Amino acid sequence: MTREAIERFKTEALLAAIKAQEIKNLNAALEFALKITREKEKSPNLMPEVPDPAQGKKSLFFSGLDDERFEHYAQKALDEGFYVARDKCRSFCGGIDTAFSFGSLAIANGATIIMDLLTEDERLATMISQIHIIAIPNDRVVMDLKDAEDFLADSFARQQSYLSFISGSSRTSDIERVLTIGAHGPVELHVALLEEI
Amino acid sequence: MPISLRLYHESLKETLKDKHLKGVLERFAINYKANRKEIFSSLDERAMIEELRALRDENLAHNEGLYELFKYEAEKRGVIVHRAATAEECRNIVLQIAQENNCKNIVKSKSLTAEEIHLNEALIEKGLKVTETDLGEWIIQLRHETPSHLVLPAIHLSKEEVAQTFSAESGEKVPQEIPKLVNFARNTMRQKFFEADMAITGANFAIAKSGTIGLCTNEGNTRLCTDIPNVLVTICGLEKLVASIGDALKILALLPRNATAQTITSYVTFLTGAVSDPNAPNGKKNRHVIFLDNGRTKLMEDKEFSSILRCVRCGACANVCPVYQLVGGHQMGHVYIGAMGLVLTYFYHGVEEARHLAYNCLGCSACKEVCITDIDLPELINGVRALIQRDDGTGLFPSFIGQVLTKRHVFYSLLKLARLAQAPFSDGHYIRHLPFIFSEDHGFRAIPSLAKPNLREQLSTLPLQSVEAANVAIFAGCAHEFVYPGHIAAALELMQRKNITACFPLEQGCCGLPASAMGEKKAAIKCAKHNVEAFLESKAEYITTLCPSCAYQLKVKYPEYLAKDPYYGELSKTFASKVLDFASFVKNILKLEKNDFLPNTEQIGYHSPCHECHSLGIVSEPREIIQKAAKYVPSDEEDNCCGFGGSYSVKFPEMSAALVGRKLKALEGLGISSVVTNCPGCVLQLAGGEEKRGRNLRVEHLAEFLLRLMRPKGVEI
Repeated sequence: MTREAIERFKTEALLAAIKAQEIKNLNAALEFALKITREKEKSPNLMPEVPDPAQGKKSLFFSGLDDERFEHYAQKALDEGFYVARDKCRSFCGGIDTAFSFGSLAIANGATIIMDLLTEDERLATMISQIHIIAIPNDRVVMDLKDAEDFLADSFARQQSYLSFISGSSRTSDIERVLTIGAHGPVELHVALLEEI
Repeated sequence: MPISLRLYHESLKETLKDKHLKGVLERFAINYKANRKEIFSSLDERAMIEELRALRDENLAHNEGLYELFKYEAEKRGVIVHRAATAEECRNIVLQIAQENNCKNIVKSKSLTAEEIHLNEALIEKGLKVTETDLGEWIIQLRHETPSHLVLPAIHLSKEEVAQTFSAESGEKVPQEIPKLVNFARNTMRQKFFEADMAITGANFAIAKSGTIGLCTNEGNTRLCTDIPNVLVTICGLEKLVASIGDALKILALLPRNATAQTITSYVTFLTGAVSDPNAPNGKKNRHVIFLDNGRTKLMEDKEFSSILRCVRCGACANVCPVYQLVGGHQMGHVYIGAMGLVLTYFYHGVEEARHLAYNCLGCSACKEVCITDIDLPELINGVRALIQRDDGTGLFPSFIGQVLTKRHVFYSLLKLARLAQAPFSDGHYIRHLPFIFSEDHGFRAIPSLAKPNLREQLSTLPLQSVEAANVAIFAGCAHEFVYPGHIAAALELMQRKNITACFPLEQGCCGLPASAMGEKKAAIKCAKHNVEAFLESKAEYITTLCPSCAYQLKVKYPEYLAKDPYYGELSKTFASKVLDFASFVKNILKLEKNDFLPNTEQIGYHSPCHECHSLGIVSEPREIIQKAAKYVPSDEEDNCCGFGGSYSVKFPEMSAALVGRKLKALEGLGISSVVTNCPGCVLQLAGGEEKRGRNLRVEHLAEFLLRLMRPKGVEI
């Protein structure tokens, strides 16, 4: 069932212009984040009147990483000349180049990632980054929305919860019905399906 | 601001000249139809719709309990829940929240319910800065316009107009390329989000069990509205309450599919409790949910209209509406647009705003066919017409017509008188000079003369059996009795050649559909009883009619209208079970095969009558039959209304003319010798339009067409 769901997720992702791939493990996904950042153009600063903490460098924001891994990959990013952060996301209101975060559950039909966004940093990073990379263990892929019902009910039972379903880049067809990517949020969405946890 | 009927007509005519709008709406309609078909292709659409209908009914039946539960659960989690009885009360609550929290800059998203209560005007009047953050909404806000579509609010505007608007806003020339326009909005809006101290959103669902609000967007503006400002106000119609996440997921499985033919929107956000905010002294967002009543609880108790509250605001009823496709939402709604808008405008914005809108509906049922909560929108629109007539005291004429339709002898005598009166204007086929009661707008099609002899006057010459002996009973309908008796004669000839015996129960009268369309439901019910009675003596296994509008009324509406009648309830069910539309009758009973027809090289187009394809779901049958007789040539617009719509073409001639013009244009260049249809009203509209254009495309009823190409008995190939 999981293999079938993973394959379906990848097929549906193509239709939703999501770049989904199976990746060996978290370290490989983080290497991928470095590579993507290396290869991209510096994103424009949407709020030039606000001081940019990255001071013109490409910025990389990590959400949800353990300290040890963060230290390791932050150093690698710094060595490449990137600016790295994992908090105070609001100070990057002009934009982040790449945000790396974790999904909680993936729904194959519709290529949806459910993200449990407890903090403002996590919430903002997924929206003000130009490229968003979501990592999720591939055993967290289910076939249909209804398979997510228990997970959602548990989350809603909490005192507070902010769940975001993400099924593609920010898009609009509001002008002459022409599909245009990047209305407000990320212009590129990558999903790394982790083979090992 | 309400306008007079004359101004409404002028406004419609002006809009019909807008080539950009026409082009964009036409392309949208064609793409939407194809994409919707594709996205539903692997699903059991009807089963899902039935499930959602039942779910919405269940939720609405327990709305008050769900509200109490939501309030308890949300307040337990630090959210303040308000209830506003009226639009004014809701506006005041929002203003009070803004004042108490010293808010100055507001960002908004999913603003339809806020539009319903005209919130922006009230906020701006108090000196608050308000920015709509959905791109389309922002564009129309800058232009001081109203939305023209539920999910594509600026669909009426060209990129040049948007560039002009953005240039005026920024004081710099903004390029006309769409990606650059979107980028301009992205840049400008980012600042607005971070300046905002308050966000106002709508809601797609309010989940009672956990006090959760759910929101769907593609742009992600709702994400930023709910992420950034500390004060977060949600305005939610009471009808959006659902019991559980399971209910919300069932809506989510259908809503984006029907709205924009997407499996799911790019973003769906679920907010539970006072979520964290590191910038607030208490570390939490200041969350408020305002449930808006504004007539909803009263509507929930209204047995006739409560089903409109099942609506989940997908906008599909506008997407498929032939009138919307011509003139867009500014002419086809007030705040709420499309078929559901025609109904809701009366209840939320009053008779003044609804008066003309409610009549600008063809009754084609395309909306009903795609409604994911199974709302009988045409029936509700008819009901709103009755309310308007009651409010305005203008019900006398419809009531008179309704009464006439129920009295067959009176009705037929009047039509015979009309036949005498038409003599000076008629050339035997068409009325050549329109009488004074018609304006020049009605001159877009030739109107056929009333037939002499009419059907009843030639019954003795037709191959009919007694009601006791015949296999099939014919229901003629008014148009066939008085305008096109030849269609019935052709059908009877077909039956005779296939050894099927037919009878014509003499007491039958009008099916009642015109009365329904005028809001005269009581008269329609009377017609139903009359006809059920008229066919009681017949022992025929089937009842067929050559008019799909009559077939729909007989088969679907009669058992519905008479369901609770102790005498007619069961009788109407039995009656309805015998009714077969003519295409199904030809396919399944006459069983015409290829060798029943003469060899020929004719290429034939088809126009699908609305009640045939949208209401009865008959799609493949007529095309299969045509293919057996000749070569069927598909065309665009086949299932789009021809613009007849009974009295619609008289009330809105400019719209009717545009619709038939579009339809006939779509048939050009196909190399067809005939366009076949299966409804006398469509024949009247298409043949009349073609006659006026001076072209010579033959328009035939299916019965006439089949008979023309049928191999006479004894003639071997």
